[in-house]
Amino acid sequence: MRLAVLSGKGGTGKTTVAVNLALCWAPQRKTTYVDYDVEEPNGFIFLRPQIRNTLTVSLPYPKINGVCTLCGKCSEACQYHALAVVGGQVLVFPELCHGCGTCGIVCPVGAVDEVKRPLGEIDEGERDGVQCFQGVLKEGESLAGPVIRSLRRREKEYSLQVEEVIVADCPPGSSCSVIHSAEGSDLAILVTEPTLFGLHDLKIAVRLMREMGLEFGVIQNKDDGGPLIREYCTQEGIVILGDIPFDLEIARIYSRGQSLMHEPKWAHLFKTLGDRIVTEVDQRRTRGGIA
Amino acid sequence: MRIAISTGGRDLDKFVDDRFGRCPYFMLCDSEDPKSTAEYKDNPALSATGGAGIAAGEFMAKEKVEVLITGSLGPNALRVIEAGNIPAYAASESMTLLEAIFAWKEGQLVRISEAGVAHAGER
Repeated sequence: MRLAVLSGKGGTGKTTVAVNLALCWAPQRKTTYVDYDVEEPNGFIFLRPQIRNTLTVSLPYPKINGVCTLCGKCSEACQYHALAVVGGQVLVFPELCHGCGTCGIVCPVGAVDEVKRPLGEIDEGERDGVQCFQGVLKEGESLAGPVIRSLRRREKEYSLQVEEVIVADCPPGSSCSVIHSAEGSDLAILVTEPTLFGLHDLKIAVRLMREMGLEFGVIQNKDDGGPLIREYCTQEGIVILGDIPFDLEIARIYSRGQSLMHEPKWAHLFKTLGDRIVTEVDQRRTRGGIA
Repeated sequence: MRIAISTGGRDLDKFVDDRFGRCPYFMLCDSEDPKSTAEYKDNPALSATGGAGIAAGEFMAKEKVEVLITGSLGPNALRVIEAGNIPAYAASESMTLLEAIFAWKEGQLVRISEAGVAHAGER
């Protein structure tokens, strides 16, 4: 069972939901937490796993060798303008290169060699029975995609064999990063908050889920008892999987970098939430099977 | 001298555009006779998703430009322009193309030797 936790708006509580769900399932099921928010991963602050392995994610970029005839085909082909033929030389801009390799394919004389630059890393560890993975994009880099794809491959290699729970903590927004992190999940959990911004970005996330054909439901965090999110979900026929109240104690525990599992009240809330999600996935699977 | 100026209009009375990679047009002319030699070319980098300054710089080299007048150059654009040995001069957006050419001839424009802010033209 793969669950993608996403939000549209940042700061609604994706990581709080993802981390605490993973911790509450771990005693009963093999559980893996994966932080796909590679631009600012923060799940490990709360999970504090013992890191056992770190892999470097690198991206190839072109290096022009001596047989170059300055024909300019590489530069013409590059959509990102990572190459410029000027003043009798080929200038290369590695930070603009997406590593697609087109320059090497179009070069008629084999003047393009590939070299690699580090783009980020993947950390692997374990905490209280939760297997933990996170992708970290290097500071100053803008290409989250390759790090996310490497992390996704690592997740697949790791979780091939068993019926387990994978909780994917996705980036905010609705860009390629979110799509790559969420696609292929059994259920997407859209974490939202009862503010106009929260609702606005929830609507965008809902459109994305429908476009992708992903099963999804909503968790309302910082619930103030108001009708804003509930009315929208009723209108749209969206399942609300659960509500987490607006509560200063939760904020205090969060600000200390701790999980909510130590407090029985919140542990119970997440247990209920976790059971509901499992039921929801099973029901939708059955329904899908019949249809 | 073959001179290029970044601009938003297609007339010597139109103004300098201070964006290099993201200006709509480049006015190209012989500095000795702008009025009868001026031609206007679409900036091929205008719609680039990234690296616009690089692509515009490469365009300058292809067009065999000998002097460039624009607002400022980002770090990547400056690297391309310097590799192409094209001296670049800064003009303000309050100047018309003709005024900018005269100002350059009189030695009133400052040579661009340091990179401005990256992505400054994305507005």
